[in-house]
Amino acid sequence: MRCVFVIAALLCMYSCKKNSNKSDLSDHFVQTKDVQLVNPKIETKSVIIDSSSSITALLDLDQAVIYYTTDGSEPDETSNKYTNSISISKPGKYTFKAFHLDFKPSDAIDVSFFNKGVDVRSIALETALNKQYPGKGQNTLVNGEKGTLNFRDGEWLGVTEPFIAIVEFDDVMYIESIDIGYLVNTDSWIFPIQDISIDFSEDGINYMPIGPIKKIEKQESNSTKLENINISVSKRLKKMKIKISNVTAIPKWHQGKGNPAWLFMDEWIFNTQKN
Amino acid sequence: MNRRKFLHKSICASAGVLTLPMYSGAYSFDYHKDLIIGHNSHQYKVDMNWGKLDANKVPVQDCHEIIQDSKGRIILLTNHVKNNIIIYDKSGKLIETWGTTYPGGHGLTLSTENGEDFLFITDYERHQVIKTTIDGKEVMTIEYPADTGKYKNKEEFKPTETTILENGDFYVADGYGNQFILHYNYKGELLNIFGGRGIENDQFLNAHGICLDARNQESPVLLVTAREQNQLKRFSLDGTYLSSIEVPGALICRPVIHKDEIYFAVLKSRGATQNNSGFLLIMNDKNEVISCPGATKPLYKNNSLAELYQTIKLFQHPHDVCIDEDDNMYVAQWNSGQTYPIKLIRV
Repeated sequence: MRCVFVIAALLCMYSCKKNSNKSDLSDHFVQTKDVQLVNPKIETKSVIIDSSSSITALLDLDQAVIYYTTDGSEPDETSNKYTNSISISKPGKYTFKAFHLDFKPSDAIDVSFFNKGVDVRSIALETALNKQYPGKGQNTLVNGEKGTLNFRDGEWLGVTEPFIAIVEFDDVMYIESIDIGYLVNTDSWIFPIQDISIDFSEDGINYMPIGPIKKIEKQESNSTKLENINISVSKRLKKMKIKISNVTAIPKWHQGKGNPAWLFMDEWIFNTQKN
Repeated sequence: MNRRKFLHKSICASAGVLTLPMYSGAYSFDYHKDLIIGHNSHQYKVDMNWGKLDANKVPVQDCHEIIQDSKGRIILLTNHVKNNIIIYDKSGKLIETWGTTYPGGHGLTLSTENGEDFLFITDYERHQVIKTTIDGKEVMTIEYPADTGKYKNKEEFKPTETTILENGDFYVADGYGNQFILHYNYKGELLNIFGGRGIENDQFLNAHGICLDARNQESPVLLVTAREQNQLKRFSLDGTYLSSIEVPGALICRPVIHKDEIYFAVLKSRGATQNNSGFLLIMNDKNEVISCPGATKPLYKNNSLAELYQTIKLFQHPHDVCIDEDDNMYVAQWNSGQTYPIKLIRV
């Protein structure tokens, strides 16, 4: 009996293996489980919240499900399930990721919302606008409009040398921080900010530096993303002189190595304690 | 179920249980699910390894275009000057290579004349269109059309595609140059020039591909892709603009007609945030999009097509497709890590 069973087991192993070999024949076809979803397509009304905004996430593929978080963490299948457009009334970061029974999950994609900052009386540019990417002119950075990932959408100021401007407010006021929005699109030679320096003036004549500003990490690989740096100011002031420098030499890993990079900015948001 | 099948199943089942702890790795029933891409009548399995070759011996740079010759062989044009032309059989086996002088080899079109195959190659770095025999002997070269007054110098002429009529006339699309369509007779004498850069109906932004559409033999027309505009434009053979077909979101390369359908490689999804966002697109005999392998299902609402975009990370930058007599498709890709063509098997 034992002998019969061993033979049967061997036969089965052979036979099962044979079947599995048969399925191996299809191994030269791409397997669904090895393919990753594309990250959801995100659409927003505006990421600067005047009264309210909204966000829509899409991945039009049968049985794909989108999950999201609001605390900056990476979504998993226990996170909030996205069903309908989300209405937004306060600042925050929304992170989305798509899942599917058969495919690998997508990468996460996030979008940040900002409160509308305080109004600026004037902005005086000390450097000329680049003719190729002048955005909407002198006020592009303080017009309350953020850009999209399309760097030609008219909301982006593009420069290849340091950009300097003086911003003046109606009155002396307490500025808690400034948000500087910028774009990364390495395929188009658009890199992150290299340096920032900010001086402030309470009397509108004499300027002092606001103190050390954290460095932005260098770009080490190809990427396309919307970025923002929040810089603490915590000063009473009437004017600010802001100097933002582009990457002067593109790193070695990139085809444009050694050349100056483009710097694209869309908006400067000046936050008080109330906004 | 017959006795043999029953015995096989029950023995496998019991042995499977008994041997599971020890042999679970070797005998587990792997989860196999072949990826199927595309929609409606046009769906495919994907063989990424079809055209893979030894990169030390037969390298590729950008795989720009791919066609099938009269013998059924699959011919690839790459801008790698070690072997600009790579010829495969349909199983993906290398047959031969030739060509070392096409650094901007971009457009590849077959012309069969009295039973003999010729190739039209456009080279945007040589600023020329070159006609060769099927084994690489150059028989005609077209220079930039200086006499038209539309070009200041040869550098403005960066041809991307050709299409050939039955009488030997041919058209050249200057898709990386001044955006004109040039009509020549079989001797290479210029007969007409139309198009040009612009956003009017009869102009182009990136007139990347052109083909003769003789599906209606009574009234053949020209199809020209305006890639940046996500449009396919129809012209009469004398260069009169007829109509445009919108393909929102899709940067279509060249139209390829096979049977009643038009096939396109789509270089990128217009609104994509990721790199490598290409896919494929197929139109039916009414020029409606019916399938988008690798992208969203085409949906028309009030006669307008919803924006198309890549949904799975499969293709990088598809640049051309070729469809064989079995309706299988071969995909050549630009800027995709020196990868070789992919074969899609129609299911």
